[in-house]
Amino acid sequence: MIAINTPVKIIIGVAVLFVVLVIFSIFNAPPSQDDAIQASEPSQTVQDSSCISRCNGNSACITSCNFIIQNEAARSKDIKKCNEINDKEDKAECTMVVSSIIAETIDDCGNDIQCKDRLYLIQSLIKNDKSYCDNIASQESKEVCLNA
Amino acid sequence: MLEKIFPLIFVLLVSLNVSYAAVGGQTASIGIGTFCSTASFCGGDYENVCSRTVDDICPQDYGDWSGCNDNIYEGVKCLPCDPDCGQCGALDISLSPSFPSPGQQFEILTNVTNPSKINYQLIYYNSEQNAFAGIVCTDSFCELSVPVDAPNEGGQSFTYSVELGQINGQEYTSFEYVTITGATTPVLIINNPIQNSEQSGAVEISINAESNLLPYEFAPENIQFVKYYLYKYSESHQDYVPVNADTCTMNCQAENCNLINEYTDYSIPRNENEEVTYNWDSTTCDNRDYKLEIKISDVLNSVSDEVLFSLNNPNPPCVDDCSIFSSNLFKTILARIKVWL
Repeated sequence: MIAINTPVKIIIGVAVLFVVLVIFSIFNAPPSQDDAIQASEPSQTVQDSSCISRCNGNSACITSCNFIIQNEAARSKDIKKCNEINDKEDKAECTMVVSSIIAETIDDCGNDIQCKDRLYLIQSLIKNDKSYCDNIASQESKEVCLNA
Repeated sequence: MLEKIFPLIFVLLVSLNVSYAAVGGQTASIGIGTFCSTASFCGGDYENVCSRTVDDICPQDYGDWSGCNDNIYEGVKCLPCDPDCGQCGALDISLSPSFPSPGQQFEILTNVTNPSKINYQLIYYNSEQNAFAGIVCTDSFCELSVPVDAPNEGGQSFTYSVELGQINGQEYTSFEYVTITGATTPVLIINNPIQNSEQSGAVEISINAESNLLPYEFAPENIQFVKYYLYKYSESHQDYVPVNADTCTMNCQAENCNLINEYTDYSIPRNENEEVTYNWDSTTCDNRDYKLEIKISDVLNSVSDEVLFSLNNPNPPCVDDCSIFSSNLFKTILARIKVWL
């Protein structure tokens, strides 16, 4: 049993324990909000350069990373975002997809057959008119249109 | 009285500190899968699960999520997308299985979070941007599964896209157009030994190991490693057990003790037919039934296959249970003595 004679000793003892507790807690504390924000910053601003560095040159990973940029470009309908992709093929696909989504008329599609097929399919859905399906070039897409 | 208070305060302070440290995430670990959805603490006693509910806690802030796939949303790895980790759309998409084998049918799993019960139209596109499925979602939560066939080649990447739009009168609004990527597992075919064949001497082990996934620029090979593991049938275990790669005995407990050969680091020797071959000297083993397991890996996946065969070498060594009393020579002498008597 610990011999304690005066309240002063108790106060000192508790104070020492409290200091030890504070020091211990500093080293075991959860990451602060600022730390969390700092840690997540590199992944919040995904660019192709970071795709390459994040993927250590793994081509499958880089492609997947580029698609995330494409998804963001499609969601925001911002074709400029595709410029964040370095790979020429992936950038071209991103541009094509976003152009297709923002196209409102068949003329907007230019020579892009898939873009036209998509618009005919959507027209068929909007107007509930299967005759639009006849204009669809892809047999697969035409079946979806006819069965919708 | 004071003598009792001091230890009580001590215990109280220490217990407060222990519970705080646990929540602090120092012991956080991740349930690794293709996609990650949970951060667990204290050996799984406490879990924080990714969810669509805003609770100001992002599970991916805790532990190591570097092995987890990116979700379809920028900066978010949580599946389902957790709004506390970044900006989430209405879609959560995954593949089941995550890495199908060549030619296998798999599912595109799509969850649509639709609390306002919008009349959503989903259109699925293949890698050629041709639509192949159209589904309507009007419930507050739609759980959809669309079957598709994987490419027939090993280690072949593929993409599918899902468009989420709304038809409102004579207008269509596209909210999301999400592209997801996937890949088939590598192809492994064991050409030799043939199943249930009898082998002797130098056994030529020949396999086809194929993947189209280039691991990195200037990589000499798409297959990362080929590993050969040997097992022997044990009467007492009624099963195949690992055998020591050097002595062929069943005394083999250590990891990889039955690894008879391996090619690693994308340095895989191939013959003129592009097969991966290895000549295994079987004369160190006794004439029993064996199982050969072969594992290969590309940059994303590993697969394995196995083949059963038996050995019939002349004058095979005795490698297991070789005491003098159990040797054939001793039994022969004993039998002759019995006859002579």
